[in-house]
Amino acid sequence: MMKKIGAVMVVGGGIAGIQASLDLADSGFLVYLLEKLPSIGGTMTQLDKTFPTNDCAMCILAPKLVGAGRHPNIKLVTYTELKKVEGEEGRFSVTLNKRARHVDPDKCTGCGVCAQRCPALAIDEYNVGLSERQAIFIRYPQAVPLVFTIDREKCLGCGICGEVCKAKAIRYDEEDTELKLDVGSIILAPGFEPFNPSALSEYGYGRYPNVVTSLEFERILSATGPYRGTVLRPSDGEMPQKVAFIQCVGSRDERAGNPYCSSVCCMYAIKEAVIAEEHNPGLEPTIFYMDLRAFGKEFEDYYNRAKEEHGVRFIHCRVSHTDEEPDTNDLYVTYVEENEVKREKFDIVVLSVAMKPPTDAGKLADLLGFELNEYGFCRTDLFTSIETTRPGIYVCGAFSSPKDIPDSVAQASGAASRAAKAIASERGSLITSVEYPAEKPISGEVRIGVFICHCGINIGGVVDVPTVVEYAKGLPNVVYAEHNLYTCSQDTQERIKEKVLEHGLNRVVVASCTPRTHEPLFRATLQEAGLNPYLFEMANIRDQCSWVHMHEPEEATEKAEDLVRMAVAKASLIQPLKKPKIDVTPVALVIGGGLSGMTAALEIAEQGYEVHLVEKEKELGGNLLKIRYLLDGSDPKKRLKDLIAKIEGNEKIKVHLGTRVEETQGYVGNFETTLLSEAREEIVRHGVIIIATGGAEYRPTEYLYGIDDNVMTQLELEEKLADGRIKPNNVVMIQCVGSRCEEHPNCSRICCSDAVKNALKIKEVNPEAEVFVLYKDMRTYGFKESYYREAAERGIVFIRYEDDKKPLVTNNGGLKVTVFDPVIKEEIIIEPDIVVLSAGVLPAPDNPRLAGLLKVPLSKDGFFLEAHMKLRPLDFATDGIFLCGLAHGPKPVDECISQACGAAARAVTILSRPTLEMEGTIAHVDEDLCSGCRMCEKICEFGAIEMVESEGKKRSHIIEELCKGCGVCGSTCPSGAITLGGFTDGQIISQVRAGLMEVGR
Amino acid sequence: LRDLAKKAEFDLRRMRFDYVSASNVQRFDKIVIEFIDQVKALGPSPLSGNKPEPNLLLNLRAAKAAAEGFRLRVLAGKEEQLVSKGNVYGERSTLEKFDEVMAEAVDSEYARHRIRLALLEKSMSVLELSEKLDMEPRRILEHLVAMRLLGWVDTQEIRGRSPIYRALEVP
Repeated sequence: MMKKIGAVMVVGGGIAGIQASLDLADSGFLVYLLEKLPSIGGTMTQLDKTFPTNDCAMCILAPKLVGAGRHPNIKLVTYTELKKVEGEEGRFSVTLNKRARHVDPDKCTGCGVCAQRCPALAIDEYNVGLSERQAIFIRYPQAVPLVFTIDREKCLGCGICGEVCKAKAIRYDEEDTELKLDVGSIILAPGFEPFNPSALSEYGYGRYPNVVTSLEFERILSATGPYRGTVLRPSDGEMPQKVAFIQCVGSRDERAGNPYCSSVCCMYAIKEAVIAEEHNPGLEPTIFYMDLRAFGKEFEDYYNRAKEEHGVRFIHCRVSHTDEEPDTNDLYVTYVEENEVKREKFDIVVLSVAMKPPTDAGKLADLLGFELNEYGFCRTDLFTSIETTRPGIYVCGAFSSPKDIPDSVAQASGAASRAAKAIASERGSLITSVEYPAEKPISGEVRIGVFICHCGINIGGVVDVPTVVEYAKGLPNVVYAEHNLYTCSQDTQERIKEKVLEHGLNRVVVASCTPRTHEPLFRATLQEAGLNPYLFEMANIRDQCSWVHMHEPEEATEKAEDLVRMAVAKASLIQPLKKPKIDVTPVALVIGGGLSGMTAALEIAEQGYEVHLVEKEKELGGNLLKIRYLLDGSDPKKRLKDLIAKIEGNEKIKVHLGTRVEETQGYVGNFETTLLSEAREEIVRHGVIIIATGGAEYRPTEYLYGIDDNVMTQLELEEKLADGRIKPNNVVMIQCVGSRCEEHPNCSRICCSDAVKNALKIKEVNPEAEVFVLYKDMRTYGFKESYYREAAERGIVFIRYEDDKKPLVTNNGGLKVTVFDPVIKEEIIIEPDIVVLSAGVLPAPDNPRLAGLLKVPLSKDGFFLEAHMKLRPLDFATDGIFLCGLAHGPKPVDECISQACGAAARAVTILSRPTLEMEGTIAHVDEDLCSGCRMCEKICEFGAIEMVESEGKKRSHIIEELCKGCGVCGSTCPSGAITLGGFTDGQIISQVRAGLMEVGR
Repeated sequence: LRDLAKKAEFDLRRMRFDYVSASNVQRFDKIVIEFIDQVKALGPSPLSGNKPEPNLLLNLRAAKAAAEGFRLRVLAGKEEQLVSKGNVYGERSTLEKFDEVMAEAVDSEYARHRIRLALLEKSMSVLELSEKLDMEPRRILEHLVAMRLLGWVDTQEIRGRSPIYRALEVP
């Protein structure tokens, strides 16, 4: 067999590609992250806020961008396209075409002077055409890599940028180059393309200036967008009063060639409506929709809040067209609501456009030799939802089906696990680890070196940098100061190291830009010079000085001096900090032996680590045991049997049946758990925990359930149908039983598809059968829409009901269902043989006990609550504990598998490392001062504080391995017993004093 | 310059460009006399006296500012190089293509300076600017978006449903 290669190529640098790259690079593989645009980040960089938490998209994405950009094992290959792929699983040879940027990435510092001077303008794609940019540009201000690119189509070749670039980074003679890479696995994450609504002339997009797409509206909402976050009409710059959102533009539409549902538009429209109202108080948003598909975790809650708190109006209808009053550019939306044609005036119309496959999907499929499905997305199947049709090539994100950010992130981790599994034998073979010289002990005199940056003309054009240097030289403890054109450039790093040696410096201060992007770089330089990385302090004299005081150079220079003085005052007191190291027990504990738990256990075991799989029942299988057939026709029984056989045949997996977790102690890398079964008690040691405890079907109390035997749940119907015990002639299905109600406000995600599945099955068993589905919104999202359409075509009748007109089920000598039909506006009466209730998915009853045991939180609904709903869907805030499947929230088979593989990948980022190095900025307790009040213990989000008995008193103790250095405990402690390393009271007070002192000027 | 003056609706008969060699006194003499006669025949300038025509004055000042601006000076200065010698990539631009780029630049620079000068007189909304400058409101908003990025303008307040823009000192 040919030797495999321990590297992976990820195609597409959006959030999915970034997550897959980070997981792989953190578990011992070299990653090439390929992006055709000049910078990574994808569509998420263009979004204003994200649902359902309303987090700023850029703020939560930026740390991942920086993480990917700085990771020693991730090579960003930007502005590059795929040309050829040869080879096979485990060993691919890839040829790429790297387009000429005409800017040397090693020299460019991203200062932006070139763009200020460039006379050639182009449309700004980042702002979707709503503003302009220069021919030399970065896509967005926080771009990674922060390297400018010349747009050759717009560049006049005037040579100005070459003349003004002080870093001498412009390369007019650069040409496209061919690159060759060898990789073991390939992950596809090319994302999606927004649908262009010009083709649908009835909406007037392109003709009427105030008709915009949802992506354009994101930019309009964004503080970094063309209108700085105030919603304005493109036609006249006035603030709109009434904004209409039209759903399903290019989705669920055969004419547009996209019969599928785009899954995300309902939620982003609600979010845009809510945010628009927040940005322009008093704005009146209206959403025109067919089915409101708020099916994700806590989405229904968000939908309800939009209605109740933000006054968003929802109209269930079909929109026929939009027309414009030419004089005012006001718009009229004509729609049909309950068979009545209505017309209403709006200031702006937002089209919620579909997600289409990326434009180069066909080319990718040809080059890589995998298949696309009938819609042009990547073909996958229910049980292999992250594999393409070609072995060794995996897929994640919107390219496998339209999906939102958390589902993309979870699937990306899943793809990382699959990609790693195929080349697990080569883990660690290609990665580089950085070796630093031994740290010099620091003692005696404090010797500070100050390096002040011109940042091209960014700082130097306003602040008189040489004056600040002279000033710094006179400050206490400063033995050396100099200025640099760019302190961050590679040659300056060498210079800093030389100066440390030459002048015996033991503290370094850099006055330049922001620590957000540059602190890690300077800390690494200190380490290379043999200094502890925490002997470093930064003053931000760009963002907080020269940029904001552009017009007051003298005052700006004085403020720069103030900032440097403050940094020096703090630097005089800083001490080296140690990064705690933890040894890792390379064993996983997976709690729950259903589909998700088994999948996660197998993923981890097949990557070479031991697993304890704990199941409370006497057999493996969980809820999958009750599922008898699936929408796509695959056989769940056979799949389950295969999976159990693999688990039982894997010597790395130890299955504990009829067992529950009794107690867990320890922290990431070193847990100790007591497992209890009838027979015995066993203690296992492990490094990570995966929670896959599943969910339970709601036991209805309504609609005569439990009273009449012919009223049953979908699962019960499924069993009877599969066993041939039933052949009904007339069936009524009622949706949202135990979901979307007061007691259980959220949607159970799977019931609409399950109802369609069982309705089609009834038609298969008995083509003459009449089936009625009584629903609130049909939520057959994504490609499942095709089964809904098929059901309607097969004569299954769908009747919509509202909460105030719920169906009535009675039995007086025969089952009778009464329901109000909004189309004919009359009550109708059905006399079915059976009534089937789509009972919701509830959290597992044991969740509260387990959550208490592991000190992890539950959501309001009782499902486990992840660290971050958007970007950390499979993690907990506590390191080393992960979740997947129904434990996280209701979801179908394919999504459980994606999440389970994803949780495995997240776990392997810990298991694959012999030791974990934690941050040095952590809290310390002075035991003599601690009164044992326990306030810190309660407030710590990471479970990093425990109370330990000493001298007969319980005192606070920091578990260093878990501390994130957030500082909350320190500011809470009433006795002043807790200090945060690097931010001690003494250091901060001295910095503040220096800031406030009188300076003789 | 003629392009800009024409845009400013300045009577082109009041303007003359010519080339005269330093030694050719007669020709210089002739041109100046001719031009003086021509201007006299046109009567008093709308800009003369105590009350110069305010719109024309604003237009001319905008034209002057645009002509002095960095972008147009750079483009004009690079014309020779781009058209006859070839650009930094060794490509030669045709005169038509260059003129097209130049015309676009002249258009937008002139429009932006008009907006700026109008805002220096008085802070205004997009619709007010549109009326004063007789420009489509949509274009004005596009220019304001670009001008705000350059630090030329800012929003001062919101009046009713209209953001009011003000001009800033340009560094």
